[in-house]
Amino acid sequence: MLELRNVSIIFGGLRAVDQLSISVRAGELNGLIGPNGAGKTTVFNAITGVYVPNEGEIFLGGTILNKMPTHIICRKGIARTFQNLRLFKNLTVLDNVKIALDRNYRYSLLDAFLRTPKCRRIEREIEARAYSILDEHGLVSHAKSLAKNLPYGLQKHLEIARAMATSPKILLLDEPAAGLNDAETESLMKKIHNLRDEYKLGILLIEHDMKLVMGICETITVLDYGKKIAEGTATEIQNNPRVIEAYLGDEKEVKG
Amino acid sequence: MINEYIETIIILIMINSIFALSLNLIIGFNGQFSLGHAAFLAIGAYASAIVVAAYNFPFLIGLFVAGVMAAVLGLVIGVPTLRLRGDYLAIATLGFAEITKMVLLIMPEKIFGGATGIPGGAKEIDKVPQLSDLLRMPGAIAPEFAGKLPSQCTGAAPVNINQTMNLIFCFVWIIATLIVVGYGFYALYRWLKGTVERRISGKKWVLWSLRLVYWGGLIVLAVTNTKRINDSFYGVFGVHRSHTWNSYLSTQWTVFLFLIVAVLLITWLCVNYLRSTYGRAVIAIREDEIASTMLGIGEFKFKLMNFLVGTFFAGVAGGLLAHSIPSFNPFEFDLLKSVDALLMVVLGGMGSITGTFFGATVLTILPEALRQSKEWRMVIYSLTLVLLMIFKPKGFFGSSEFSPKIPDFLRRLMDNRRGAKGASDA
Ligand SMILES: Nc1ncnc2c1ncn2[C@@H]1O[C@H](COP(=O)(O)OP(=O)(O)OP(=O)(O)O)[C@@H](O)[C@H]1O
Ligand SMILES: [Mg+2]
Repeated sequence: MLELRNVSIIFGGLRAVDQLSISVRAGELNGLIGPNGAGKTTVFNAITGVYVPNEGEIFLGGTILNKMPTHIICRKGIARTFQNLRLFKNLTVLDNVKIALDRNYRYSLLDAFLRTPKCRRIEREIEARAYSILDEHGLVSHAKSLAKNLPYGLQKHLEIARAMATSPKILLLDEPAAGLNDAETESLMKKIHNLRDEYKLGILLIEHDMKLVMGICETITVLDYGKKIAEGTATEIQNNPRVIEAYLGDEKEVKG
Repeated sequence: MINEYIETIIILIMINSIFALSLNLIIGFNGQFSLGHAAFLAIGAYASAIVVAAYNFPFLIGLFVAGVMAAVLGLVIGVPTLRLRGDYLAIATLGFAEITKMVLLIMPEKIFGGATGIPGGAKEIDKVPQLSDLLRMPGAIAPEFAGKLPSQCTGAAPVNINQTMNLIFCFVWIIATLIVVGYGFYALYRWLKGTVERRISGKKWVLWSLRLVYWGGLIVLAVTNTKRINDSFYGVFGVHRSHTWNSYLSTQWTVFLFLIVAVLLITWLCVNYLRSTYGRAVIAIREDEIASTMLGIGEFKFKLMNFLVGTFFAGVAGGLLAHSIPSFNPFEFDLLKSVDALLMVVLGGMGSITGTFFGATVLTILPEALRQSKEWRMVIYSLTLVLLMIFKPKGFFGSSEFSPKIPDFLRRLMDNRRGAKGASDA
């Protein structure tokens, strides 16, 4: 489904991503791990069109995504969350989700200005759909509160809810568990698993902390200095000497 | 009867409210810092003055043309500048606004009046009709009394014409005929559309021209009807065309009524717009550009669309202004005018509709109230603003979304109960 072939992103002299090839198929949950500054977020930025790859191609089910503008890539079915939450902080939780839904509904600008029956009907549909998504993510009781007033853990859930509202085929999650306590992390991971099963999503999950990924990802790719240094199942990765070396260099534990 | 000075201030408050609201759409709701908004006010003023005074089009058409012309200029300015960010956008829009001013200056003096402006130096336009003339409806006033104070009118027949009644009468009849004839039109249009769709599939332009004919027909109907119905008002009620003190009095209230309706109508349109998928996308861009593009929002498209909406309403405000002040020239629409509007928006609160009205009211009255203190006027004015910015940096109504009071109140009025309840049940 989503496939990167020998993708490189170069900033000046720095090869932030170097000849990387990965793929995510529908229903797969893959992990992308690596120490600080390994280039993980840059991979997401390349996929979503923030950066144009200097080398290589990115495909989504046969169409090439290089050079496509970000909003078109989203409409092709790729959604993401951000390492440092990018919610619409001053808007309500409900509006956050509605904004993501809106592209699937259409009425004319004149309908909008005059709030014609057509516009009202579609707005009701959007609202109903938004509430059902919020319900799914356990946020209904917060629908009318501002996003910035949510507890941090719920903000993470909201960001996933918002990404899911665009009905993606591929979901990119950038360190979803960062800043959460153990209980919150566990419920979040369970949810990611469920989403994958329910919607046959392809998920690419970035994690800084290896032990988290080990539990839920089928395939794990390890990045270091932009290069893929290992790929395989959790056990394969855990015993790979290069991975251990990369992580020890970063003074991080491999085993949890 | 309110004295003319106060009358002018009240009129200016309402026009400034529309102008500031149109800027708030761009700055407050979309986060695009435009500093050349006076250009659109200028284009609107000139467009409406020329269309109404030189070509004798009905006033409402003049306002519409003012909005459209301003939006066209908005397109010209917006396409190259809206790709810029922050300060660069502000400087670029400011530059374009100054260019607009200069272009107006060198346009044919016969029509645009050159440096002396309209109507002073204009040869074809003798005088831009004022709101009070226009709202008397065509034919309601003897031409020799047009634009004069009641005390200057002598020899008028002592008949009391209720202008407001006339206006309401006209509106009701126009809408009634539009509904009746429009429905017939609509049926025909649907039938034609059906035929077209069956015969030549995929020919979009055919459908579009059909639509054009349909809406054009309705507009022509409305325009021709205005005149006819206005005449029939006199027929029906048997009043004579004349101008008296009483009719002047009621005209003043008609002007206020008209402007209040205009402000309310535009507010209603804007609130609707901001609550739609379009408005939400616009606000999302203000909140976080990157996140919104990742949600499928074409950033540039929505910025430009919103800019055009804002400039359209600025043009309408300009149109209203043209008919409310004795004369104007290009120099009036300079940086200071843009800054005035900016201050109104900032004072009231960016992204707050209620705040905009507050800001427009305060900043229209304040300079006038300080008029007595002559040379200290500008000092006090500036000082007041500086103090306000220090103690209320976010404006009086903050940057709170969908300014809580008005839209909520409107929302309850507009949404039918069933819809609102159904949604929260879901
Ligand atoms: N726009 C940019 N311009 C220049 N260098 C950049 C840019 N974005 C990222 N980099 C560099 O590319 C490298 C990879 O950054 P990236 O954010 O992808 O790392 P990461 O794996 O996500 O790290 P972390 O775990 O800290 O999130 C870093 O050295 C970073 O400084
Ligand atoms: Mg990162």
